[in-house]
Amino acid sequence: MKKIMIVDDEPDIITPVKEVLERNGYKVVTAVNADDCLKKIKAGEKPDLILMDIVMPGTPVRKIIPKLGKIKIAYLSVVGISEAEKKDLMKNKNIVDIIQKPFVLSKLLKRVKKLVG
Amino acid sequence: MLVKREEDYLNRIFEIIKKSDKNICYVTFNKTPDFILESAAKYNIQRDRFYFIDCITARIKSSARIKNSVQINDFDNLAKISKNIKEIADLGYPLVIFDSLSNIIIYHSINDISIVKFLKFLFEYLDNINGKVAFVCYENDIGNYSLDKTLSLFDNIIKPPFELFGT
Repeated sequence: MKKIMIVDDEPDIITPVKEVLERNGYKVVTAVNADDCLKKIKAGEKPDLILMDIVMPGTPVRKIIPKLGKIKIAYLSVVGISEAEKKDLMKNKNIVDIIQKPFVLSKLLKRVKKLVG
Repeated sequence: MLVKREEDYLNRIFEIIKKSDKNICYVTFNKTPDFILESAAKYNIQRDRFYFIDCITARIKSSARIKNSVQINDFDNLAKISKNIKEIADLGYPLVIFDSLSNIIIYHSINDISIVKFLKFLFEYLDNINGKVAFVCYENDIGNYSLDKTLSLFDNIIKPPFELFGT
């Protein structure tokens, strides 16, 4: 069973995303910010994919990414980012997708299936 | 004040900008300047009309300098933002777009008093230099936070047309 970690400070995002992923056979763990994510990875969590809000309170996400090893990360972004900036962010090998919020859950599920199977 | 229900309100901001001949001081908390310029180009708005107070790019990228922009990391620091707005308005960018109030009121350090003080300062200062300011805010936040106490300070509240969002 593939494991997905959702990292978001908004319960309104975590709850429905977790529910839809679990209903579709994924094991889901959650974290409320980048620091919490790092703590859980260091404690032994090994998700196949992290769905991570790009802007959250606490340590900026970009400072945590290099500490997460080779785990695939898809950004969930409410921030308006230019095409050039998206390409720039995707140069980081960990970053496999940038999903714009608000998103339709069925489309998010499709993207997750494409990324981890 | 431009009240938003959905995310796609940038076209309304560009309408305001196009109707004005003033240069723009754009305070952004949720879009990178690069994204705003990319979008503005589609509306034939010249990039040299913008000066940015960028409170977002440093959160997502390590290098983010573009021409005509200042970066602010402590983005709940309204005094610092006011100071920068004043300086940029004085440079010849007196049409201030503040995008958005909803992004700052989530911080505990922001309260009724600090918001009213901030708004009053801006209105008074911009009045003196023949400037204007437009604030963006989620409709729900007006009731939920301290913003209802500030409504009397605004000349005009623009709500999005229903047909725009199909409600």
